[in-house]
Amino acid sequence: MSTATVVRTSELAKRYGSTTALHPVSLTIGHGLTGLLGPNGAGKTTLIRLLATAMAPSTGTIHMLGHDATGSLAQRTEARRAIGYVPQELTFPGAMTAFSFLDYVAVLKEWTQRTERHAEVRRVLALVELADRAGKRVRTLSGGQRRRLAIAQSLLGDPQLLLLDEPTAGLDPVQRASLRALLSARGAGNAVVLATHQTEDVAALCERVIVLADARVHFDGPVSAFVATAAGSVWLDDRAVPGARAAWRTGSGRMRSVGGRPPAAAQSADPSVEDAYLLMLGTDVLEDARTI
Amino acid sequence: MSPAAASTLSVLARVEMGRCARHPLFLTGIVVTTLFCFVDPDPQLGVLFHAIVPATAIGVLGIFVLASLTRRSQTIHAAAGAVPVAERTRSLALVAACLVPFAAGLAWWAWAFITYRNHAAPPNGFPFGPVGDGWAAAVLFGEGPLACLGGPLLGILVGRWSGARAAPALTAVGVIATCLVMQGLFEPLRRIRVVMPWTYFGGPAGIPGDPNRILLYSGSPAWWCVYVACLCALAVLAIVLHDRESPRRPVLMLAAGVGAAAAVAVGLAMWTGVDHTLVNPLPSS
Repeated sequence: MSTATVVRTSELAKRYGSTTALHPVSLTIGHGLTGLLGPNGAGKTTLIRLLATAMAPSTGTIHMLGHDATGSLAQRTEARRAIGYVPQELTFPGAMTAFSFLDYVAVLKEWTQRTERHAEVRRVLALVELADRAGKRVRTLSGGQRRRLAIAQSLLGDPQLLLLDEPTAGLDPVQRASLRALLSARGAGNAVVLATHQTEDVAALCERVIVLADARVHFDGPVSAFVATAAGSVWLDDRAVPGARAAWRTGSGRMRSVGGRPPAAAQSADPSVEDAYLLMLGTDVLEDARTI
Repeated sequence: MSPAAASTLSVLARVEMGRCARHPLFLTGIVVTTLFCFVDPDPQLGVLFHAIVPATAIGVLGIFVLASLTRRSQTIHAAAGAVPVAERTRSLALVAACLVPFAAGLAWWAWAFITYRNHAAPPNGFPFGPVGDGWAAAVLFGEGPLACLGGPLLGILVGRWSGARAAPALTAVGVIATCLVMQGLFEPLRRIRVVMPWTYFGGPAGIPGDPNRILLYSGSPAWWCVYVACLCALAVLAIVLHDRESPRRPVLMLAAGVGAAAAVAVGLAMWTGVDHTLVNPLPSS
């Protein structure tokens, strides 16, 4: 992972009245792919919206490529020039074509020269494999195609910081693989932050993972270090291990257990990101999240 | 405004103007207004009563057109999240789009004034008495082009400040209802009717015994035009005030100044010009 700092937050927090959406977080994000992992309601979207300058923090600062994104409007505008953002909730003007939608967004990203702008729109449409849908109205696109259109708008202008909130939701396995290829290529020279509750996305793409739960950071480090936290805690046996945080029957017919005290006959298994996630957050946290 | 922002505003304004010009409701308004230009005006009332057509077909429908464009602009912005172009710039681009219906209103005004000059009202018709071409030009300008500008501005205002889908329809109904009440039919309201952004300056309101007798209402249409222009400026300021990221104090101070100017203008519109309601001495028929 490159050490070039793209974003640095200091004691960044968000509150809504008496509800804390994000406890103070101090992070440094550099080039490469960083996963924001956590259950629903963990604070991922809040953090990513704060980084995208789509909302103002209650306290704390964000410095982005030399600009104080929590400072003056001029500073925020400079920071926004470097950001590509895919919100979690996708809203589109259904009557517009994919091309005209992207063309409008490109104007909002200060692409004022028509010829260059149209070339850029065609470039990002090709990147997300929607070139053949350019003239289609957005309302006629499938859910996966709309998701890719949202990703296309975030890629306009080749931003140095790409913030994606649940980008793989609604994509089929082929589209997901295609997106992973695209994002991994982007991560080579830029910073990509991926908020997700899909552990397989983090395992497949990210060099670093930040685990959020209850609006707090529970882990921040390399994915390999995160997986290592579950080493010696994952078991395969004919029955669930007593005291396991989670257990399920695999396709081979054996029970995979995460955590707990294994019987002598249990076979140790290589942990995955999902195992580490289940082990770290525990049943209580996960059940709390499910009730939100 | 930085050069980048000014350049973006120019491009965005052209985009919004194009969208406005292609909007089906705007095109419908243009077609209706144009068709009515081929209808011979009432020989007694002349072309002055044609102003209701552009005011409704372009102005009132303009509320829906620009509210729709504003909502679309907001939706696209929400889809992109954070973009360097500020909401104020996006709002000003939408305001620039209102120049399209305003231009259509100006074209109608030119036609209406030429028609007015070429079709003199009969002695028992409208207008009569101490009013000249300037008075007629001001009436036509306020009731035509300014209505074509004000309606769309109101549409942006509603679109920016209200998320309710029914807001443009409720606004249009409200505007029409209050203008109906304040059009001068009711004698006690005749002097204060000029507080409305659209009103009449005379017509066949009638007198006892002659229900269609032509009346000329009090007030100055020229000052009323100034007042309505001030209302349009206030609408623009209220639109840009919605942007909470940009400095609001200068906008509020400017709004206070324009508000004061509007108050003076509406006072002059009430108390200058035609002194009191005049009744055409000749019977309507």
